[in-house]
Amino acid sequence: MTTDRAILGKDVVLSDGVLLSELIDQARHEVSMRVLSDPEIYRLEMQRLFARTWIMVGHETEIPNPGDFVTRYIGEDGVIVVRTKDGGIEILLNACSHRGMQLCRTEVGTTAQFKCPYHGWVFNREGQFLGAPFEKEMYVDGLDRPSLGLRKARVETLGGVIFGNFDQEAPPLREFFGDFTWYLECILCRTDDGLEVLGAPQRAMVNANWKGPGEQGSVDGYHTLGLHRSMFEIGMFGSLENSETAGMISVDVSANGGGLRCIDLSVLFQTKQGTGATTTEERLAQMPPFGLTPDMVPQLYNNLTEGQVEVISSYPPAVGQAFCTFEFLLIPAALPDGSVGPFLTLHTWVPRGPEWFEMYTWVLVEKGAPPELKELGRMAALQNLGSSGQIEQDDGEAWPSQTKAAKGYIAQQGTYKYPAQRGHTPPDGWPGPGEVRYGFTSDDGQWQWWQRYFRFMLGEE
Amino acid sequence: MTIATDARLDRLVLGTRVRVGQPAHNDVTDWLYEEANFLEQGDFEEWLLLLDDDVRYTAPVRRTRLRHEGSEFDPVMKHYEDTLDTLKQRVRRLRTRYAFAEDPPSRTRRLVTNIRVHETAAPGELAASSSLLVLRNRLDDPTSHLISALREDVFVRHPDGLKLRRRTILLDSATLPTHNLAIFL
Repeated sequence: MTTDRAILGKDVVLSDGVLLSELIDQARHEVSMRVLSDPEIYRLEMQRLFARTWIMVGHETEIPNPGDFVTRYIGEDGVIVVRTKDGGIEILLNACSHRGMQLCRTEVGTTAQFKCPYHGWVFNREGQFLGAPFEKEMYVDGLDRPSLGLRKARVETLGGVIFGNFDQEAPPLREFFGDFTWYLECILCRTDDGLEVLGAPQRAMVNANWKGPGEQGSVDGYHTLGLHRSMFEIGMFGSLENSETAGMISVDVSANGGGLRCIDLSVLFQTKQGTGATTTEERLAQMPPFGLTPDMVPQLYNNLTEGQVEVISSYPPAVGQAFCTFEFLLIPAALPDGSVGPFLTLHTWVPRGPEWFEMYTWVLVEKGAPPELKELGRMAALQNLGSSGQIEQDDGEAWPSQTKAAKGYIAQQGTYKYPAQRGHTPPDGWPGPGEVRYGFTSDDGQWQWWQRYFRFMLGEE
Repeated sequence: MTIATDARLDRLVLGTRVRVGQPAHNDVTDWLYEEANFLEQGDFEEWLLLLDDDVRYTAPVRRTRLRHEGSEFDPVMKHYEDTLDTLKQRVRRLRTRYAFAEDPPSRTRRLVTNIRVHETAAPGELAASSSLLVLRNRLDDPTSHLISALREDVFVRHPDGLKLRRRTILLDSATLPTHNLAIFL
């Protein structure tokens, strides 16, 4: 059984007769607030989005050896992410094919096989049914063994990040991310040894619909000065005296429903006070990419194209999200003693009902970086992002507040507004793909996230 | 893993048990009640004065595991990993008028029980464990988030009383039952 193809090309009539397609206003760049946490729409999202798109479930370094597994979620479906005997990765539905008990109730472990606690059916790490206790006595007519394997998701990785997709006919991962892949590589694929996850992810339940962080992630540059103003007030985000240092000027990229912001280092290099570095090599020598030491810089050329290295040297891709729930933040953050910790934080938003999601937070560093740099990154990440992070604490206040407001009957007649559309205005000679804007941040990326959201929800993709 | 961390892995060597009612036990109990009061009232500057300059304040991530598989606490990843400097910075942020996560503030009630105290190998140092139940009520939500933990603390004696040198917050939840830890535990 594969994903239901009958949904393709079909609008949805909601229970009160409203068409789903009426909830987005293409001309005005507005989305109905009803979309946020309507239970009917939430159920459709499980079918049309989470069962058909590539969802991030972890990082390869969490399960380095054969038999290592972690349990995660794709939509509301629990899955086991396991390293197989030959070093591959499988994503298995965490439900016994017999009576549906979870095969794994732990989050992490190592095992040769999966044995259901209920009746004892056994499966291997590839999800094949191996046997049942007293099989001959119990099943005198025999079992249709090949049909009893665990349901599997397709698996692909990018920079070690593991993605799963239950749609066997979906396009491959890199095709699904499209032009956005080029930028993900700038974040995830910089060094020879690749990334290394620092321990287990943080998990926290947030009383908000997953689309709060979802639409914010692709990517809301505008909220930085509002919601995160406290970070400027205490001097952690630079001064408020001009908009460049207040983080509002950037190169914003959007592609395939993903959006990201690239930090503008031109001020550093090109102004009168700048260092005058004009070539990619000079810039990288003066300022190695976040999380790399100077001696790691040549590795960039082993793993990336010249265009990607050029972008990293002058406008490093930093914060954003690939459609629909894979967020990344590759930033340096100052610690109170003046040291700077560079780190990569990854998030995914796991839906837990119309008004709840679970926030996962991983911290990663370059495996080849020296221990002191890794430790700085870990400390800086925990100060700024995730459960106690001083930046994301305030995001955790905004998302529940949106969901609460969207419950109102009158509120649902209102809209979320994305009129700041700037289109394609890249810096001269920009080598990367996608729609690129240089200047004050805009609504383009988030609007395009909604565009792709509706394409999936209306069965157009 | 290349990262040096503490968690509960490098456990103290505990000395003599200090029984309920003994002076040192009273000192620790009194300290914990004072702390709970400062945090409930939002007197964060007063709270900071209870901390030693070298305080290490951590809350390891917990993962569900089988009994025979060992500690549920991740040795590397934390919810909190703080020093006095970073805790001071958190308080400084809370005092801006833009720390929306805690403004308006949560109403917290902190129930501290099961206080057990031991001497350690170092003179003047005390190790204490206590059960903590925090009820976090926010905005007009009638339901409070329940955050429970075992806290393992190390205190050192200063001329003006005990100060906290190490706190390990061993949360009972693998998934936090509250949207963030914008409060101190």
